[in-house]
Amino acid sequence: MSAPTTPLEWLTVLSRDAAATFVVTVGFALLFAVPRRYLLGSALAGVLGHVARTAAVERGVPLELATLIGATTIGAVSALLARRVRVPMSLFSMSAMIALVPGTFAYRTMLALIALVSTPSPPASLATDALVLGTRTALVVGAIAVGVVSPSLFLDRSR
Amino acid sequence: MSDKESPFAWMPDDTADPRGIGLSREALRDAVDLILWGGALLLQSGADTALVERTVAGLAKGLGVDSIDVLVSPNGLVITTTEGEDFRTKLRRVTELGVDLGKMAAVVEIAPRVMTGEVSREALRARLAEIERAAHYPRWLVALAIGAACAAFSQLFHGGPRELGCTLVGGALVMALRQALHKRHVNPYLTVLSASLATGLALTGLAGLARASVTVCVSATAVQLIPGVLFVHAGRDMIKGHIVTAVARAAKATTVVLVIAVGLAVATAITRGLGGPQ
Repeated sequence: MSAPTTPLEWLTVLSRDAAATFVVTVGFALLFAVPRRYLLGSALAGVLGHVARTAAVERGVPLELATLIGATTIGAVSALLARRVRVPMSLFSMSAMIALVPGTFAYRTMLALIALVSTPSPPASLATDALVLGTRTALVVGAIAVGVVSPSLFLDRSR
Repeated sequence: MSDKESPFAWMPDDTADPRGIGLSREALRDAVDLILWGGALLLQSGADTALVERTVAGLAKGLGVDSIDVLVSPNGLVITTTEGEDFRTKLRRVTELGVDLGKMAAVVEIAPRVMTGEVSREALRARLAEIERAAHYPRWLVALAIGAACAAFSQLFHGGPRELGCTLVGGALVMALRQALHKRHVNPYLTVLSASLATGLALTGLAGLARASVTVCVSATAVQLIPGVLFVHAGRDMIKGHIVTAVARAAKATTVVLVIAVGLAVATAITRGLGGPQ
């Protein structure tokens, strides 16, 4: 996939991204039993966060850093919404952050590890693959946790 | 509240809060019970430790308990209340650390109303019972929504229409399986193991039939099993200094992830043994 250049290409990429993230966030909000009146808020946090990450990735920012940007957006939007309606921010942030989860990275890490142990005398490249994929997965997960939590430490004075 | 603002500032110091005066032994026992109940509901519905402590303190204040100490552990809560030289301690076990943000919000929302005195002890008891019984979204709706979410994930993972179709069906089926096992009170780790095994087998099969990408289909469906709330609350607890609950949550989340990996790995081994994709 080539990076978008014209405004129309950007609009297409980001609106597709926003639509998919909306479905992911609302789906998980239903699983987490988020009350109906907070569904749109969590969708807003999720869409803004993931679109921010996608925009950053398309501009050439590494995925780990882009995830930190996206997760911080989610944390900030959720903390602001939570402060407005006086409920815990988890109501918004928990389903919102799910779309950032690096599913394919985690799965490919696992496949690489399986290949590593099931190949007789494995080539060094397999070990490198597993290490790189595993490290990136861990960094992205860490970026999600840090990004979602940290804005509330600044925005929520009651804690 | 400072003495100046307090409507009871005219009273002698030893009767600081008149709501506390009327608290007989029975009333105090009742209040402690309700406070623990509220805290337990929060803990088992996925609240982080700081939120449990804050809400419990608010409930205690509202119910006229003078002084309270709370200990939140991964398996339950302990509170000690002190009235003059007298103190009492009560423990309540919490066995399931689930996620039910609606329940969590309901308990948190009632605390300020208890504090203003709008909700009495009796009303609080009725409300907590109501919250405990409150209905979730219907199961079929959650299964469909998770199917749709997995399908949307396949698009975020750069899949096409084939992957979309496979994950829509597969995601909803795997969710339905989890609901069925949960309803029968199967051990949660066994549930995750079955679900990840089913994900690996079903999605590899579906992807094979539809000539879709196995990696995209399996990972977009398996994402629904990832314990995201536990991970983030582990981080939040750690940052706020609640190390015991932080470590417990992190350990549980890590175990779940390992169980997912085992299930998918076994499924991969089986499908390869059957001549599936390498």
